[in-house]
Amino acid sequence: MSLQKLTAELYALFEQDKYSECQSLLPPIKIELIKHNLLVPLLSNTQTKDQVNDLRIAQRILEIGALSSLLSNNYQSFENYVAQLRPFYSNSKLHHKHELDTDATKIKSLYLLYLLSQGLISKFHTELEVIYNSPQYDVEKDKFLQFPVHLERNLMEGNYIKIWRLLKEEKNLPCQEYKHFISTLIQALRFEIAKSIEKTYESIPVNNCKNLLYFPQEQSDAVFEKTLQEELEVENWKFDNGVIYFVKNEAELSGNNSNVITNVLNYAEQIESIV
Amino acid sequence: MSEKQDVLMKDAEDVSSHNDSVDAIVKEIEASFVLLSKAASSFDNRYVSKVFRDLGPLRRKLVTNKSVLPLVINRLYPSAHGNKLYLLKALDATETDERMDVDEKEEAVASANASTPEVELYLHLLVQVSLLDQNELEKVNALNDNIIQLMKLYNRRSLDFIQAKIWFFISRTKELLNDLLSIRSELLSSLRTATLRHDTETTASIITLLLRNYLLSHDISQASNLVEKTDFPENAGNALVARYYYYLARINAIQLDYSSAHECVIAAIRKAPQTHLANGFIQSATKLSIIIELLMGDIPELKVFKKQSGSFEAYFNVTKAVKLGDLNLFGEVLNKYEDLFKKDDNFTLVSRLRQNVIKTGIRIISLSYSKISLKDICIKLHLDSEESTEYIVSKAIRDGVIEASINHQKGYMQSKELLDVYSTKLPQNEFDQRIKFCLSLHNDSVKSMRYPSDNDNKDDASKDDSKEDEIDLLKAIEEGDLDDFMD
Repeated sequence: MSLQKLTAELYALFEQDKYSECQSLLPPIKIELIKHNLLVPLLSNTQTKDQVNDLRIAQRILEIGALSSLLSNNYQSFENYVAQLRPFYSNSKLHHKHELDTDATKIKSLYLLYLLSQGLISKFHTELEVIYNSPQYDVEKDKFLQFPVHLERNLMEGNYIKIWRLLKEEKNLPCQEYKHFISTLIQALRFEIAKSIEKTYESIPVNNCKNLLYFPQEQSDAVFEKTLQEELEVENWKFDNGVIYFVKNEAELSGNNSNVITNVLNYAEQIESIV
Repeated sequence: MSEKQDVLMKDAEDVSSHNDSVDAIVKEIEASFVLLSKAASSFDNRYVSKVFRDLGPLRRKLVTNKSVLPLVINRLYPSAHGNKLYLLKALDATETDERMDVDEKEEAVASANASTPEVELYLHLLVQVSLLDQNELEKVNALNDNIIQLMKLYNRRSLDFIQAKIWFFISRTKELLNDLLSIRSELLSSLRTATLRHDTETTASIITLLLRNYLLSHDISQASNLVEKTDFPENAGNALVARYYYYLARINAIQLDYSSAHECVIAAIRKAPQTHLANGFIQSATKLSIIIELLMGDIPELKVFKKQSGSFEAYFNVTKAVKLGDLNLFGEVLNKYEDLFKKDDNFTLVSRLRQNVIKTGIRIISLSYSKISLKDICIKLHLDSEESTEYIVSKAIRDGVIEASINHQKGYMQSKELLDVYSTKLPQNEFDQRIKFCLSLHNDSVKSMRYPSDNDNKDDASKDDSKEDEIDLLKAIEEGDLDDFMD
């Protein structure tokens, strides 16, 4: 089948939200792209206007690939597509104008969100550094990009209530694909809150705790306890008569003296070598 | 500015004694040729360091006397030599047969010199530098391709220092031309060659150049990959090591690994040459170290800001805002100095400080009150609501910023009484850090001591002659290779 036909079919399938069909169609298209030398933008294939237009189409195909793998829960392939799109986005022939609310920023922000939901904060910042320093993006004004950035900022501050509000109301979300991350992000959010609660309070009534963790009030205590233990890895929470007590881990405090001994022995060795 | 005036004034003086000075410079260059051949024949790279010590002043002299280099080239190469042609073309000079005037003895020396690659490459370096100083970027760029080809022809350890230097200027040219991508493959391939040949100087130089290249295009992941995959040679020159650590600090800081970033930036500042030439480097390293310290939750000492010349005003104000824990002030500072931070490439790092501002705010409150309602905290820190205050305070407790607990039902925060510090392990850890530092300092200084090699003593005949040389060389090494830091 020719490239045009395949591409048209892919567009149609994507419009109809048939993501798994898209996935199966993509490998043959990519092979065609390689045959036409369109998979990677180079100096040699960005000379004429036609070539640039062809590359735009290739970019769109890869974008569909990224979105459809995301929507069919295939994170690994989403990451691969993002990596393949990177040379397209950094190519000055294809992207030279100021970009605001475009597909490029959408893909980038989804990738940021993905990193955030996986807890890969250092990668997140590495990526952000590039975006902040590319003149064509405006993080504060772009509705796609500002979302993950604000999310991360609030997460680091501990301003969980703001995050909750952001995630809870769907009209806050700039596009459909974001919904996909909501459940993982809420899970991550609860995990963070639970860790903080553990350190902060000596005891807390179960009802208040449900509030803090954004669990519905009408959930029974037993179910609540069970979900806590299964999802949030809480170990030393004691449920007693409607109040949760937090047992401090004593082992940490006592410490180990062997550490001191190794240190001292090390000094002795060093001093001996000096003398 | 003042330097420029100096040069201009010198220029005026030079007009009268123009011919004399041209001759003097030619003599100087040829003297360095002799040293370079000596380095080649005795395999002693210290002669090369000596030549490079004089490169800085020579560079300034060459800017005012443009006729020198063509003269040297004409004298060095036999007529119609391939390299001669393109060098002269780059300098916009024509081929003249200076060699007629030279008497036979000198001619023999000259042709002998031309055959040593050290001299040849050094001459290329001089042409490259002088073109760069005259801002003839396109010409240097064209010349660079020739030089890269030339360097590939040779495999001699005595060339290491010169090659390292030439790569530095090649990369600098590309940077000034704003063309960072095209040079990468050449750099990488020569990095491979240099590593295989155990050419430490070039390896070190190219690694730092690549890192700089990646960082300028904000390609942090590439840079950190490079750092992971390469071993920085241990015995590289101090100037290069300092630079390498500076880049490492930057990469680590962006990847949120503040404590190793801090170690690296401190090492960079310590290793940097302590002369006025390295001022620019030390300044930007200090700026970075201020930010990293703030990000780690420490407040830099006041003397850091007062020690050097240069504009630390913006960084001082940021520190002030963080120290006071005042979010509004922080916002103002960030707005006011945004351009400056962006120019220093520190903006993203500075904007991460917001959470630290809040944390110090909470810390100050926790130190001053033993018990305070969440509502009051919310008002004092200009936060949005009582609920968010509770979360933020609880996050601060979790991160170990304060020792406190919250009573949820009554809505207050209670600080824990300060324990006796000396009953904990804290002092022990602190001492441990300091002792380790002193020991490693001692070990490093032992390692970096230099001893005369055995060969020098055996060589009785040339002993008197070499003694003077030796002193000169040691001086050159002590002063180090400072030229790099001039930009």
